[in-house]
Amino acid sequence: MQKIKKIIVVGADEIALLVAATLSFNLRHVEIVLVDSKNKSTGALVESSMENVGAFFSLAGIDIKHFVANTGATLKLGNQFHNWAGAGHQFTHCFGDYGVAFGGVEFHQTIIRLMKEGAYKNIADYSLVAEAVKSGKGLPLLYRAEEGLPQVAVGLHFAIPAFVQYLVSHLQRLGVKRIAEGIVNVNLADDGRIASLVTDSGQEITADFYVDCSGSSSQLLGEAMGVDYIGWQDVLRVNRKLCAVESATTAINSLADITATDKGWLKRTRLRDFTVAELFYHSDDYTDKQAQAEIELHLCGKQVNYFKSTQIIPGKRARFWEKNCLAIGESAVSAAQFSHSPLFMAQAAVTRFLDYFPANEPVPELIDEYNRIAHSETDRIYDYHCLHYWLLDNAHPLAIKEEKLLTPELRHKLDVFRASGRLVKYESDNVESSQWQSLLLGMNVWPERYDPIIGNLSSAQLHQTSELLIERIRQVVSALPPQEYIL
Amino acid sequence: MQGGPINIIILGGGTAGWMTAAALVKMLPSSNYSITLVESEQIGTVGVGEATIPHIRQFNKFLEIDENDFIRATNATYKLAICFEDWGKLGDRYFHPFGSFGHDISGIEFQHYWLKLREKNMAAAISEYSLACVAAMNHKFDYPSTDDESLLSTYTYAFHIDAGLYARYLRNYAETKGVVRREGKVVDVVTNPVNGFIESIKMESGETIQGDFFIDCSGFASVLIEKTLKTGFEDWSQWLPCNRAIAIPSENVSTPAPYTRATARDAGWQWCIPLQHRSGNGYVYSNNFISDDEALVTLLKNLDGKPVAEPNHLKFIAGRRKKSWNKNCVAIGLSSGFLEPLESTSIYLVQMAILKFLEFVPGKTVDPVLQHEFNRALELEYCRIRDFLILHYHATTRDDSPFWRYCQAMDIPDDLKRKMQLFKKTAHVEKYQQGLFMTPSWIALYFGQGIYPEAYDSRLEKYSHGEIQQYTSALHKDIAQTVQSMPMASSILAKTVKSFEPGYAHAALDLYRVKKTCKK
Repeated sequence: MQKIKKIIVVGADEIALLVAATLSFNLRHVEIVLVDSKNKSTGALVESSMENVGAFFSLAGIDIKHFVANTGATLKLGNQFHNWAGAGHQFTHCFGDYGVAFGGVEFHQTIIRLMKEGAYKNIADYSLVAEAVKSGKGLPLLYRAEEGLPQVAVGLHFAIPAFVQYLVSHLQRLGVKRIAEGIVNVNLADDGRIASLVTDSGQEITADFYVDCSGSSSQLLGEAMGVDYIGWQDVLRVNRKLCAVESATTAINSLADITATDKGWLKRTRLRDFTVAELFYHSDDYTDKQAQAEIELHLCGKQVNYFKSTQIIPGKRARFWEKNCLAIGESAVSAAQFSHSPLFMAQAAVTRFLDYFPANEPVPELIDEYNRIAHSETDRIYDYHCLHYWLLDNAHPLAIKEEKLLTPELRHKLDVFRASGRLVKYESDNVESSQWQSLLLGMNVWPERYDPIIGNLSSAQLHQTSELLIERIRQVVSALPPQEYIL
Repeated sequence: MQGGPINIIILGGGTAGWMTAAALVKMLPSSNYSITLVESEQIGTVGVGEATIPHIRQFNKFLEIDENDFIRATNATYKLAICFEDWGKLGDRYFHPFGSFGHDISGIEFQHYWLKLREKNMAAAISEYSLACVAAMNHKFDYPSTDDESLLSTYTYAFHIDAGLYARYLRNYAETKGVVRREGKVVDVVTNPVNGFIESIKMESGETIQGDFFIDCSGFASVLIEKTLKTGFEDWSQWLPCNRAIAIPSENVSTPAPYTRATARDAGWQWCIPLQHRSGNGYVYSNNFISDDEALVTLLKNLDGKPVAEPNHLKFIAGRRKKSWNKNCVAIGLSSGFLEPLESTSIYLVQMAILKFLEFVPGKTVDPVLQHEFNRALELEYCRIRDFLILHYHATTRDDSPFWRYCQAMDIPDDLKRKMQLFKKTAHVEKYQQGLFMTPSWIALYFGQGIYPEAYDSRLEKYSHGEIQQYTSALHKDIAQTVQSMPMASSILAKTVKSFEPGYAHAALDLYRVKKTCKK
């Protein structure tokens, strides 16, 4: 069997750069070549990261503090939803835990009971992160809450152009070779494997393995090898995105604002010097002009630049890894983003690939295993996205209105939650339980009952415990530095 | 609550029954739930000296039981591992510890580093990188630490107990807290003619006990879940062919070892569970390959000490009830399925069923959604343990008896096939979130039974053998020194038994640590 000595990564966007960097950093014995077809980009302007951002960077060999210092990244602590579950509805969905397990059961059971007894105020009261946001405090990147307090998690907001620039020099340090040419032809061998790539200049290049980061066109896996794309457009109706950049007028915000607009939804991410607004919608509901008008309604900055709207086709590739080619990024999966940004999903994919990275030519069992796990993870992320659209005000054109459109796994999860407040945890479900729970409760999905086990406690006991917790969170947060000092 | 409290009737007073009664009465509000346990002193229990896994300590903690009191009441000894002999091939011996082997380095699991050293003969035996293994081999014991930095945080422990005494202990606990015990034999079960739900059980005395919900802890008899509700049984004997056991206690000839012994025999395996005053022994075998008489001869020949009672013959089929929860009845313990005690999982499965039941405990009516989720979770738990047990039989080069030739050649479940293939190709252990056995267990078994992968993680190419060895040999030395300074298990036990100090050691639902392993 042949050892894998060389990998070609095809693509020019931030995902391709990140993938090349991560592969090169971890596989020092393998030559990584980036063929970056110049003209392609995801069109993303800003990254509103997931939690656990430290691991994200360290996997690519990037020191997070160095990165923050060189790119002007700012803290991200969650999402602020406006008008999502109905006009006037507000919900701060923060990273980290809500409350602390109490009386042998998870804290959200206490929240459910407080709700039933009319003593519930706001789920955000039980989150240390939410309290920090509310009081304009910052959380140090490696902050750990002490015992007895809800645990925290932090992410980052950063500009994609700055990230790209950072990665370019990082790749130089790692010694990754770049060929700044597009691919004009993919030659397949008789057994269907990729034999070689032909670039603009007519140069023929070969490797032992190929990573397709060419974006939604999926030049290698999709176009050349013919692996199908499974569309989700019957359920996730969003098919366009329009971006605008405005000069910053408000204070730095560690929450991304997510607002249900008339017919779409708008995500606003505040960076150090400007704010990025992205409107997600369906082309039947807004023309590009109407979409622009919709964004204008929500902007307050002085200088506004609009970008061309881009197409989104929610869905996934039927197989992510086929023979000697692996697809990562939009060539593999596309979901209109809430928590799982394409960058984070790409990093998860490279990491999984590294776990299964074959020393020799990959065997079918390994490839099947990668695809099996990657698909089941992707499907649970899809569920999490669907849940957002299902929770969206039913009158909204993007809302998933019928429960039967959800996967059986998500329907079962919802059924169990409504009946018991318990959360079904599936294998490959990488969204934290606390995130599912807080999203459901924050969007007013209240279970029929609370856990009978906390029926053992008196109401007075429960209220006192909850008040004490809120008080402790406030005390701890008040001692934190203001957010401007953190980064 | 409307219409008075919910009456839960537990049928059967063995370990499963009294564990259930104790947990329910502790956790459920007495204003809403009343718990009755029905048992007959004429019907014996299977309890023959039981090896447990660390989860039992979490169960005791959950009940706020003083661990030292429990040790005294159940004749318990400490347990750090299971020692497997003659499994992969005759003469093999390995330990499956309640602890980890080395630890992850830069996010890559320890076995990869070990395999890299092994290719240049630079690695010590894998067990020497596990504190629990080394301590067990040397009959040492100490309480684990919760300090993540300490080597003493890399293991946990369980007990060998007299399960009959444990049931008695929990009976006392449960009755004190308000469980009503009804003595007598059940002669009939009355079900609702329309929906088939159980309404009441009729006692030999003529009296009727009504309930809203029933828990079948009647053991192999499966009085409610099978005889009454005809739930059905999934037979796994094609993969786990053992269907008989003979149990017999014997005198201790030396101080009890802090591990269970599981020795492969011609047609099955033999357990040895050392208690304070005697040892439990048994031969688990398949009567398709050996007669009961031959099995008894083999067992008696291989006892360390003199037998102290008559042999007890048991019959079973490996498998599980198609639904653990059917209508208004949940089966807990042997009535819900049987997996041989090769990995000491019987009490664990009882515990998991109880905890899941508490999560989805019914009100006056049964919600099919919750019933479905309970069954889904339990099925997963059973199947994952099943696969791990099958691997013990299948991963062998033994061909010295028809039994072993069968096991070596048998077809195994697809999930297990996939796991083995993945390990052989990449040294990667498939991770799951639900399920008992994680990487250290699989590693112990694979290496212990002679399965070595073709490759290890490619990311290790960046480290030289020397660099890795420098690191691992420091760990190796550290473990040896730490174990040297640990006390003998027997001296700690003697101290615990003699003193009347209470003990509330750290416990978690974790097979390898006393603190729940952090995600990420």
